[in-house]
Amino acid sequence: MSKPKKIQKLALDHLDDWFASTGFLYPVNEIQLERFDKLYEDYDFKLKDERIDVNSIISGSIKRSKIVFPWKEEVFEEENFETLRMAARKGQGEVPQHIIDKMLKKHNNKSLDD
Amino acid sequence: METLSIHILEQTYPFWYINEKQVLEEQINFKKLPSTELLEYISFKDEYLEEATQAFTEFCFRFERDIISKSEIYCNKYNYSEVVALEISHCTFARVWKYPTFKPEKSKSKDIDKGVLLWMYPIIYTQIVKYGEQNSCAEPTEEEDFVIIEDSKGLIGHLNIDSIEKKRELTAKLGTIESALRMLSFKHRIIYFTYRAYQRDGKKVPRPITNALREKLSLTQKSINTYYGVADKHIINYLKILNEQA
Repeated sequence: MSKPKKIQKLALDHLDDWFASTGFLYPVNEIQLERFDKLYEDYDFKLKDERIDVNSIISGSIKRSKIVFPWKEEVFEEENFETLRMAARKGQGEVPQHIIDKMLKKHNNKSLDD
Repeated sequence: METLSIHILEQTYPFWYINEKQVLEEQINFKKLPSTELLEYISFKDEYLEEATQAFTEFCFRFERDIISKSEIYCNKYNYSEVVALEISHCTFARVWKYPTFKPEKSKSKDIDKGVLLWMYPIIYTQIVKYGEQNSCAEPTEEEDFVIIEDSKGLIGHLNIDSIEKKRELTAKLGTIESALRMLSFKHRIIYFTYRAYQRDGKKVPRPITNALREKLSLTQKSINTYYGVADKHIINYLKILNEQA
C-alpha cells in the first residue's frame, strides 16, 4: 500500500461520522459501513476461524470468562497528562508553539512508520 | 408438535394438492430464505422451536463472520481481548434470538442483509458498553439500548455513495484519529466514546451507565467528568492544529 499523506484533514463537524467509519463508534449508515469494511478488509482478525455456538445461545449457556478490566493497571505518563490538562484548561490558542511542534513531529513520524 | 411447514405450504398450494405424507417430508430450505423471513421464524420460537432453531442457525451462519469481526475491532478499541470479543458476539446473537425485532420498513439499506447488519451493530456496542456489570449478557434498559435509540430516529436521509473515499485516504484518516488518541489513556478513551455514542443520538448518558463507568474505571463522577473534558478538548485542539497545518 502506498504511504498516506502526512496529515489528513478531519472536519470537526463530521467527527462522529469519522469515528463511526473507523471503528470507534458503530456505523449507522451505508457510507460509514462501506468505509469501515474497506478500511479493515486486510485486517489480521484473530477470531477469523471462530464460529457462533448456536446451541449455547438457545440453551442459555453461553460460556463467560472471568471479567477482567485491562486498563486497571494502566500506567499513564504524567507528562502527557499535564500537557493535556494545560491544553484543555487554556484552549488551543494558548498551546505553546514548542508543544505544537512536538505534536506535529510525533504525528508525522508515526504517519511515516505506518 | 405441529410443523410450521404445513402453514407455509397451505398458503402456497391448494390443500388437495398435498397429502399428509408430502407435508411431513417437505423441508423448508432455510438457506434460501431472505434474512427477514429467518427472523420471522425465530420470532415463532415459542410455538415452533425446531423451525426457529433452524432459522437461527442459518441466521448465525449468514452474519457471524461480519459480527465477530466488528466485535473484535470495537473490543480492540476498548482494549478488551479477543476472548471478550467472542463473548460479545455470542451475546449479540443471543439478543437477536430473544428479540428478533428488525423492521424491514426501517432498514437503513435497500440491501436487507446490510440493513440487518446496521441493526445489529448497536446491539454489539450496547453489549460492550455494558460489559462487566454482571457475568452474563447485558440486559439493557430502553434508555441504555442503542438499538432503541437508533430505532427512534427512523430512516437516514440521502446517502451519497459516490463520495466513498479511497482506502489510502481512509487509512490516513484513521491514522489522524489514532494520533489524536495516542496521548489519551484507555480510561479517557472509554469515557470519551461512551459519552460520544449517547450524545451522538442527542441523549444524555444514562445514570446506570455512568455508575458502571465509575465502578469499572475506579473513578469518582467528578474524575469521569474531568477525563471526558480533557479528552474532548484535547481531541478538538489536536485536530484543529493538524487541520491548520494540512
